[in-house]
Parts: sequence; structure tokens; C-alpha cells
Amino acid sequence: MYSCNDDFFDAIRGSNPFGSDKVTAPEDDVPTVDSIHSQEFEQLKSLTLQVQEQSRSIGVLLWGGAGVGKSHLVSRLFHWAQTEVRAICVYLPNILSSPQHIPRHLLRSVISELVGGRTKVKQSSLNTLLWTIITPDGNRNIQSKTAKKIYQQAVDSLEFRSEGISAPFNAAVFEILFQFFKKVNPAVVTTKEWKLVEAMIDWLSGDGIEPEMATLLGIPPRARHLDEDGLVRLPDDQHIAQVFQIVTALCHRSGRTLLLCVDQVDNIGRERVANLAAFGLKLLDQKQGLLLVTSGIKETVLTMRKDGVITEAQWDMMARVRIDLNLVTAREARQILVERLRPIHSRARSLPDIGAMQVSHALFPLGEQEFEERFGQSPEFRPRSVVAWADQNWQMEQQRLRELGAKVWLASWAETPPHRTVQTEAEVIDQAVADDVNSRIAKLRDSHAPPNSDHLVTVLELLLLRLLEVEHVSQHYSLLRVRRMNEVPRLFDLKIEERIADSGIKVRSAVTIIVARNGNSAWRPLDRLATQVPEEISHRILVTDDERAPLPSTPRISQDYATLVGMGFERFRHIKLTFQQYVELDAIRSAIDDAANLTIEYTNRSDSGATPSEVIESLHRQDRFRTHPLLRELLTEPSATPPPSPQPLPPEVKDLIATIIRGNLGWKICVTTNDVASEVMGQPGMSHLDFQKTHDLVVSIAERMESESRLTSKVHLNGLLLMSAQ
Amino acid sequence: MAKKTAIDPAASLAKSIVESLERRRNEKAGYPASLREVAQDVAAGISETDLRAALAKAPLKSRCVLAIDGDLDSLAILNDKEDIERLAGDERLLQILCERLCSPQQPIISVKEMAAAGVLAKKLATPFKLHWEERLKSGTLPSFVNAVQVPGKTAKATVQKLHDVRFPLPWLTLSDDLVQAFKHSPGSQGVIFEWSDLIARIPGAAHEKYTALARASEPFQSQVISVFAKEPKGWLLLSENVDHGARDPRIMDRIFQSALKAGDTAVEVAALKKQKHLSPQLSPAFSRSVDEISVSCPPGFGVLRFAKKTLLFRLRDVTNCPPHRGPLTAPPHESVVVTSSPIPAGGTTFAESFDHTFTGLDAHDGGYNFVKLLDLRLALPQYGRADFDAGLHTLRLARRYSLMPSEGNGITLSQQEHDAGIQEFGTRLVYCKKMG
Repeated sequence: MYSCNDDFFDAIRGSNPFGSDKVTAPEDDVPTVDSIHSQEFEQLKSLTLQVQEQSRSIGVLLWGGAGVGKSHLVSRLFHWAQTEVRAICVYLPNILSSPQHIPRHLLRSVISELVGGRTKVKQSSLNTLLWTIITPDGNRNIQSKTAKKIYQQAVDSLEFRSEGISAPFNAAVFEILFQFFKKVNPAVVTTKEWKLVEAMIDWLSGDGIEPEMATLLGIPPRARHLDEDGLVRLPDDQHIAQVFQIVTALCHRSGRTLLLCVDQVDNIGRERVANLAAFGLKLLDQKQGLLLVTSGIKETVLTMRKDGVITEAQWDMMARVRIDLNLVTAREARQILVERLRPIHSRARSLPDIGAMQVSHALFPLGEQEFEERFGQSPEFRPRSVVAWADQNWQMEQQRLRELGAKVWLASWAETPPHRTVQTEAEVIDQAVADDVNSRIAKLRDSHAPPNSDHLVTVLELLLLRLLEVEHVSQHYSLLRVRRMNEVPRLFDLKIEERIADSGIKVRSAVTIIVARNGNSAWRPLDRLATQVPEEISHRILVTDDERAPLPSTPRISQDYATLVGMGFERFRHIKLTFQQYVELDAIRSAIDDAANLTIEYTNRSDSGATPSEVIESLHRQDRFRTHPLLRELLTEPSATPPPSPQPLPPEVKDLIATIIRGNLGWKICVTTNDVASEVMGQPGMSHLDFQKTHDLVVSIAERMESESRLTSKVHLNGLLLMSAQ
Repeated sequence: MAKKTAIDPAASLAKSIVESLERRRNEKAGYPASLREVAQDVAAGISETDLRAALAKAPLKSRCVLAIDGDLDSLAILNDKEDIERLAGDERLLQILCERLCSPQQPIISVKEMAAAGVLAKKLATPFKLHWEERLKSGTLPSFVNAVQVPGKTAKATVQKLHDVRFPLPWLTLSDDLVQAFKHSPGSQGVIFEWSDLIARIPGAAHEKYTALARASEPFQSQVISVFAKEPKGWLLLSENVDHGARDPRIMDRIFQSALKAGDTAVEVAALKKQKHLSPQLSPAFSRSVDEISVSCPPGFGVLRFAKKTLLFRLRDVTNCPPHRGPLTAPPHESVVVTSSPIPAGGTTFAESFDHTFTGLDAHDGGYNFVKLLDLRLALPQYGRADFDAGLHTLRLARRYSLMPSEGNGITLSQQEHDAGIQEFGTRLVYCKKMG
């Protein structure tokens, strides 16, 4: 309960229950109206249970229009499955890798999720499920020998197919899983042991490990397939599917379904969808416990089915159950708003002035009259449009509250509908695009997505190709052509061609992206960049994820790196991406590809979202391309005027951050610093702020508030989780 | 010299058939059997003309009884009391009568009606009636019929009849028809339906005597509930829409009215939960809607707090205007006006034509439930654009169909497909799907 009116005003000023109109991660805590899509929810629950009870695998296609609530429904399902301990849930939005690596990417993502992004392996799903199998009664005092015996009995009782897979391979996978269990559970895990654990995770993920490490892990010689870099890794899709099958069987043995949701398949391109469908068929052909939910926009998915991108056999398995979501009625739209307002309303009910307003105006501080004008005339709506409308109206009330002060605002609210600040369509689009990109950055920073070079190459390739589709871009940037290199061994990842404006000369660059933790993985591609790039390519660009996977420092790497540096600054650049810059690329790329899902509330404008071109032009207006070090390198000439340095954060932003933290914790259980940073940048005039700097400031203000006992916090992925002190 | 008597082949055949009948009876094999079958014993391949000629001759004429007069394929017996009773109780006879007298439209029949239908030979009618009424009473019926209790002439009286199991029971059909009509009627989603409106949608049902049985049968019994416990022929609601329906302003209005004390214009909200009028299935949902009144006031009502009490009142009872931003009237969507679909000269409603066309186009396209408006317009040329759009709007209000824009990546619509779309709040809706 709020103790005074100011608490309520803080909630209005500093938070926005409608700030998020899309679910980008299943852990998003989005209020739910139970009756909306309840039948579909029950069906998904029932399928999750069926998979476990009947020892089968089922493919579900969840489809519908944009913004109809597909991701929200998945989020509800995950929440239920995790609360009821019914499933191990893995959410894969917008999977991106080169098409032929889709199976490996899926496995890597699933394993990363199962090991908690490697940050909390003891609390991870994989460790929990191994404990459940070894000591179902929860007794954690168990001798290693006994544990092994019970584990082996459980393994022997599993039923799974092994066509074309050698028994020693299966035994190795089971043994590595047990070794993982043994090594992560002692109170202290030494650096040496942790290296072993990392190698186990790498190998299980389909990544390469050094041959010596493979020997240490007991991987049988027949399974020691060497990749182009001389590393041992799972040789092919069949072995990748087998690891999947073993993990699924263990989940099933522990009493849970493996619930895998591949969301937004409509955005990943036809070739990837084809490979995903082919691999999906392999996975669903297994006996045990996988519920594979594929979700996407109906029109695109159906076109891919009709065009044969997804074959009939694949369709029959992956879309065995099809769930088609409906739009909502105005009555349901109203329920959505009431539900989102409920946490604030219930806390303010005992405040005489505010409580009375809430009684008279159920949507307070949103106006019912405005709601009726917007939604009273049509039979059906996208839930996202409803939330976007409320978001905009909430922001207008925030603005009025700031301008008028609390007392006058409250007294005049009933008589004065808010006036929308006159904005051009471009301004509205820019704000929506900035909010979208920033919220994606916040979510990506809070995820377990593993760093991976194939993923980064794909993101960069797709982003640059998108930019080339827009004529407008060629007027402002020097980029002419992008080509992904697929030869084996690959001399480099991307070939970029640029035109120097004054002379018309074409300049080619070879781009190599290295995201690797071990020396062998990193050395080969670096060596090829240093020594094998053809003469006609004058520039070499090395890209590394410097925060999570800096270039390893081995003698061979140092030697090649010195060769590259020796070529001079004009011929070699090393772009060291921070984690923030890495996720920003992905956020920009997904915002463009997902343009149809962007909600733009502007008079007489279609609510069918935006086009990729509109988003690209908006990002150009906001200078998001030139301010990113890698995009600047690839899109502009070396002599181009560098962008202005980021402006220092304005002084009022500190108060704003404190208000947003107070406002959110006034009615939410917790909020992440990444979400706070995203909300700060969503305020009028703040979208140009640098995310990393804003986030750093949020963390420092949160720590100060914690020292004043106004909140508590704990480390959470790439930021802090803030909780109310009460 | 004595005059020779001419031999009548038909009489000779008649005599032989009687002998064959007697033999069959004595040997207790193939008796009773059809007259045609018995005749084959004595004259293989006998023609229908010869057999009929024999049937008109003694002794066959007087000694043989056909179960169905003139039907050579019906069972035949010797004209003895014991044999007649035997034929009357033959299950094959009952089966033949069921096949002749029962149909999907009349799957139920009494023994008396069977006996008096004019199908049975007169001599069989009484023993047939006596035998099968006894079997009906004792419950020893063959598998192709069941005994059912149906309403009699008075409200409380019931009569036992035979049900031909090839056809569904009429009240089960009616029960299902009513539920389907409810689900697919414009405005049924969460909107209260009057029983009289519902029954009017089933041709001939209003005059049926099976309506009570239909209401007590599945699926009606579990899927439809009476809004008010004592008014089974009053307002109805689909049970799946209980939460939705409990918020119907008309229910609130009735309960509000019943709770209103003489001279008052407001009711304490807590008192609404004490109502006893609603059916037990609806009461909990209604109570929940009452709990939400302070945050989600029913359309047409207002809430005020006075002396620590929360009071509900009708906006129409307030003499001054409500604040500008409050609901001035019941919102348009809360009082969906269900209008009839346009009816073309042929007598088929727009909804029927649309349903039929949609189903055909969808099936042709693979059954993905995603049909282009262009295809629907082309397939329904009898409706002009305005009529088509108005009819479809009604179907959308009833939650029977939904429209969607083109929003997929890399999909380009033709100009025709684009033009066939419906523009709504800036969005061009070009696809149609049926709602489940």
C-alpha cells in the first residue's frame, strides 16, 4: 500500500506499466488476463504433460498475426511449466547463424540455457536435473561412487534411438554429463577443474575443443572429428541430434519435458527455416519428451509451407498441432489495461483522493472517453496496439504531471484530456525505433546468449545486406557489396566492398570475426587473415568480443597479430567490441527485421508496424550506424568525418533515474538495471544517450540508494537486480 | 368315359408350398422364412407371376399368412394361432418394421404405432403388439432398438417407446443443434441469449416436445447454463463464457434492480453478492465481477463511496453529467447490436453463403484457415461491396470470422488483393480466418 499520494505520483512519473508492448524473453513479467487465449494456454499445458506422460515428442506451430500475443502465450506457458516443475524451458527468439549451422546453433543455445550461461552452473537446470536423477529424495549427502551407480542405472533404463551412432559415443556423452555433475558441485571449483567444465560445455554445445582436452574428457577416438581448425567437435547433425536426444531423455527421466520454443521464425529467412525444419524433423522423430514450439507470423510461415521451404513430412511433424491465436475484443482490450493498472491501483486504493478517482474512472490515469474513441468502433484488435495506445497516453500524463505539478494535475485531470505534443511522423517513428532498440539491448544484456563467431558473422551479414536494400543508404555510406565466404577452410568471414566517393575507387576489405576462448580456435582464422588473404583485398579487419572472449594470447597468435599490426593502420584494423556493442548489433538487426512488429501510434497511420526501410532511415537519422565502431568502419570511408563524441549525460538524468527506480519498486517486486536504463532512454529527449554510460550511472545510483537502505540488490547477468528494501 | 380333370399348375404349386412350409415347421429348420425362399424348395427359379398365382390358390391362400400383406419377401407362416404368435415375436419382423417405419426424422416409435401403421398383416397386429409391449416392459429387446422414455400427453406423463439405434435420439440432435446455434449465432460470445431466440433458430424445434429432454441432454446440459436458476426458458449463456457473461450489463441490471430498495437509486456493492437469483454456475463469476466493480465499473453504472460503503448506481439516475473523461454511456462494444445479415433474393443469408464459400475456398487452399478477401469477394459476386463489408462486419462482431493484414516479410500483394482489403484504423485487412 502506498503511504501517501507522493508514492502514487512517483509511480506515474517514474514507471510505466505499458512501457513494454512486446515480450522479448519468456521471463518477462507481463501481467496476464487469464481469460484471453485461455483455451490455447490450456492446450499447450496439456501437450506439455502429454509429452511427459506418454513418452513422445510433439511439434506445435503457434501462429497468428503480429502483436496478437504469441510470445506472451509462450511466456505464460514457461512460467507455468517452471512454477509447476513440469519442464526445462528454452526460449530461442530469432535464431541466427549461417543456415548450415542451425542445428549446432540450436544445441549451443540449449546447452547455454541449461548451464545458466555458465555463470551459475550449480543452480543451473542441467545440474538440477542431474541431482533429480541421482537423488530424487533431495538428499545431497551422497558418495561419488553411489551417485555414479545410481546414475548408471538411470542411464541404462533410458530408451533412445542410436541408428548410425556408436555406443562409445553415447557412453562418452553420458560420462561427460556425470563428470560435469561431479566437478561443479564441490564447494570450491579450482581453475583447472573449471577449464575442464568449460571444455565439457563447449563439446556438448557442438563447439571445438583442443585434442588434448578431448583425451582428458575421454571422448572416444571415433568421435574425435577434427574441424578445419584442428579442433575436436561433434562431427555432424546426426551427432548433434544425438546429444539433443540424450539431454531430452535425461529431462524425461527427471520427470520433465524439454520445452523448446523457437520464436519469430518468420524473421530468420527461408534457408534457415528449411534447415530448421529438417533438423526439427530429426528431433521430433525421437521417442522421448520434447515439445518443440515453433512460432511466427502466419502469412510468412504459410507462404514458406506453400513454396516448399518446409516439406510436407517436416510440416506434419513440426506443425502436428497448430494453434492459431485470435485478436482481442474491445472488452478484452479493456481487461488488459485494467490488469496492467491493477498493481498500482491496488496500492493506491486506500489513498482518499486517488482511491476516489480510481473508483470513478476505472482506467485512471487513462481516460475512458479516449479509450472508447480509439477502440469502441472496431470488432477486434491486436493486444499490442492496445498496450501501445496506453503507453502513449501514459506518457502524455507523465508529461502533464511534470508540467502542472501533482496537485493541479490531479485536480484538473477529469476535466482536461491530455494533448498530444505535436510531432512529425518521423519524430514518432524515431522515438518508437529508439525505444525498441534500447529495450532489445536491455533484454539481450539480461540473457544467456552465448558469444559465438558464427552468430556474430550472421548478424553482421544480414544487417549489412538489409542496409544495401535501401537506396537511401547508398547516398550516405560507402558500402557497395557484402559477401559471406563459405569456402572450407574459410580465408575470412566477410568480403566488403566500398567506394571512395571522390575518386570512385573500389576498396575491398576482408573481415574475420573471432569469438573463441581457446588458442587453437582463435589461431587458425587469425593466421589465415594474416597470411592468406589475396592481394586484391587491401584491408583486413579483425573483430573480437573483447569483453567475453578476448583474443587469446598464445605465441602463435602473438606472432600473427604482430604481422597484421605491422601492415599499418591503413591496412589492418582490430575492432574490439564491448558486450554492449555486440548486443547492439543484434538489437539493431532484429529491430529492422522485426519492423512489422513495431507499434507506431500516429494519426491515420496503419497499425501494421513499420517497414524495414523506415526503421533503417530512422536509425540513420539517429546516427546509430556511425556511432557503432564496427558499423562505422564498414559503412564509411576511412577519412569520413567521425561522429561527434557522445554528449555527457545531462545533470537531470540522475533525478530521473532515481525517480524511475522508486516508481518501479513502488509496485514491482524487482527491476533490472538494464530495464531502468532502457526506461530512462525512453523518456522524451533521452533517446540519444549512450546505453552503456546510462547503465553505469543507473548502477551507481542504485548502489547509493542501497547504501541509504532504500533498496537491496544482487548481481544479475550483466547488471543488477534491484528489489524493494521493504 | 370319365372326363379328365385338368391339372392347375398354380394350385399344384400352392399345395407343394404348403407342404414345404409344414415340413420346415416340423423339422424346425428355416421357419419362418420368406415365401419366395420356401417356394424355391419346390420350384427353383420360380417367377414372381407364378408365385403370386399360387398364392391366390388353395390351400396356400388360406393356410399361409404373410407378415406383410402382398410382400413375397416378408416372412411367411402357416395360419395357426401358435405359428402367428411365433411370427409376431420374431425379431426379424421387428427389424423389418423399423426399417420401414423409422427414419432420421422419426427414430422413435411406439409398439402400438408400429402395429397400427398398416404394414403388418391384420392377423399379426394384436399378437405383435402384445408380444413387443411385454418385451419393451421387461427390457429384453434386440440390439437394434432401445427402450426410451418420452414425454406423454401431459407434462408429467411419460411413455415408453422403441428407438431405432441407427438414428440419433432427437433430443440429442436438438441439444447439439441448440449448442451449435448458440455458438455460431451473431453475438453469442459472452452475450446473453433468450431461450425463445435460440429455439427460433432451429426450424421446427419450437413445436417439438423434446426441448426439455434436449436441455437435460449433452452437450446442452454442460455447455449452456440458465442465467437465472428458476428461469430455464429465460436468458442463457455458454458455460465457456461464464466469466465473460457474468459481466454482461443486463445481468448486473437485473441483480441491481432486485437488490434495490423502494425509493433508493443506489445499492451497496456488497449486497449484490448476496443475490440468490443467479444459477449456481454463474454466481462465483458474478461475485468476482462484483469484486472488480471499483476498478472496472459495469457500463451504464457508476460507483461512489459514502460512509465507508461502496455504492453502485445507474448513470441514468444521475441528473448531472458525469465528468468529461468518464464513460458517458454504455460503450458501443458493450451493447453489440446484432443485425440480420443481408438476405439475397434466393433466401440464403449472407452468413450462410459466406460460411459455405469460405469452407470451400479454405479446403481448396489446403485447410490453413487463411483465405484472401479477394477470393471471397470473387466467389460471392451477388453481394456488392457495401453488403459484403456490412455482412462480414456482423460476422466479425459475432466473433465468427477475423480479418488480418499482410505483414509477412518479403510478401507483396497484387493490386487486386490490396484493393479487395478493408481499410480499418489505417490498416488494410486482406486475409480472413474462421474463429474456432
